[in-house]
Amino acid sequence: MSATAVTDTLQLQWGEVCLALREALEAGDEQRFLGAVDTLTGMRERSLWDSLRQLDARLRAALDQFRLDPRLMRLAGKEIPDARARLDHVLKLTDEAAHRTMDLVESSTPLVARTAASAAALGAECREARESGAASPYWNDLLVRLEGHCAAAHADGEKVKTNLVEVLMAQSYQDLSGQIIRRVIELVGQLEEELARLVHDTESGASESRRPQPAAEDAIRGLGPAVPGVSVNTVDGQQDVDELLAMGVAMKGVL
Amino acid sequence: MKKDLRFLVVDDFSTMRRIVKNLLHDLGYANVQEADDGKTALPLLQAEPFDVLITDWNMPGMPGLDLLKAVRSDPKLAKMPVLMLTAEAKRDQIVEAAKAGVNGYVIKPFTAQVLAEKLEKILAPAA
Repeated sequence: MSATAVTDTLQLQWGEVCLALREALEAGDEQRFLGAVDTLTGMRERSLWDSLRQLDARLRAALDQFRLDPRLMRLAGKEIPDARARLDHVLKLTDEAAHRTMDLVESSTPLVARTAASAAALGAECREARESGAASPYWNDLLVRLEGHCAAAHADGEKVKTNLVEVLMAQSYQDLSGQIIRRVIELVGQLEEELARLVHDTESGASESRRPQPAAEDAIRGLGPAVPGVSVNTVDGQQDVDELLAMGVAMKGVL
Repeated sequence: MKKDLRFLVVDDFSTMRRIVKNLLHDLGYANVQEADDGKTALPLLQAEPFDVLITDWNMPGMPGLDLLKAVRSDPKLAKMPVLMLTAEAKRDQIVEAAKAGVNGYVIKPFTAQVLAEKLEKILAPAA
């Protein structure tokens, strides 16, 4: 709106009462002046009440829309509970996969350990037989090849054993991702509860504030694994942990 | 190092309990029991003579920090070596655990070697 247009609007709305105020002031007529002030105050209050009424109407319309929004009702009643069930299912699947992998690791480790050990023993026997010098050139050659094969089988078996330990350790992803998923399930549950409360409040017209869970309780219960880009003030590896632990122990000694 | 030590491994994730149990077996410790949170672990600790406690922190029911405090405040268990094996990585939490009397703190994800080293360290006086 241009300055001229604003001036015109102000003039239209307030011009008359301002003129009455100025005339009463110049005439020194106190009664007329105070009467004009009352008129001015009344006009201002009316304007404020009009604005409040408009705000109230808009708020009611928004709440009505909120209550009637089928998408929101679907979210609160079905999709959020579904999301929790899906995450629960993910937890169950990863748990089953991790245990299945560990079943195979546990059944494979003794097999490869046995093969590696018997290869080492057989290799030693081949060496002894070869070193005794009793074997003919043909058998001597065979013993050399057998010895080489046993040494390789032993080394390979040891490597597979080490790899199986690594496979076992890699299953810790299920715990780490599971803790994060559980936390999300909890958050989704809280969201569901709040949304249900909001829908209920808008229907009943009531509103109730809810006490948030104190952060201190979370810290005692545990916060779950650090998430890159989300967690702050976390340690950077085991060495960092060891230093902090030593510091904490020293502080305990001082207290 | 004594290989007949009795371990109690406390973690709400059965996968992690199984991993730790396997690693302990590899280190020669065959006597390992499990519990899935502090609430089930504490009565076990009070009823049976365990030598070492390995516990997670973040567990439903009774968290590991509360279990540690309960152990330290029980005259029968107060001297038990406790290793915390957890993903809790806040600096304040580690200091808090140290103040509560934890003997070792291993952060997840960890390696078999780190677990072996920390165990050796906390068991040194018992060896």
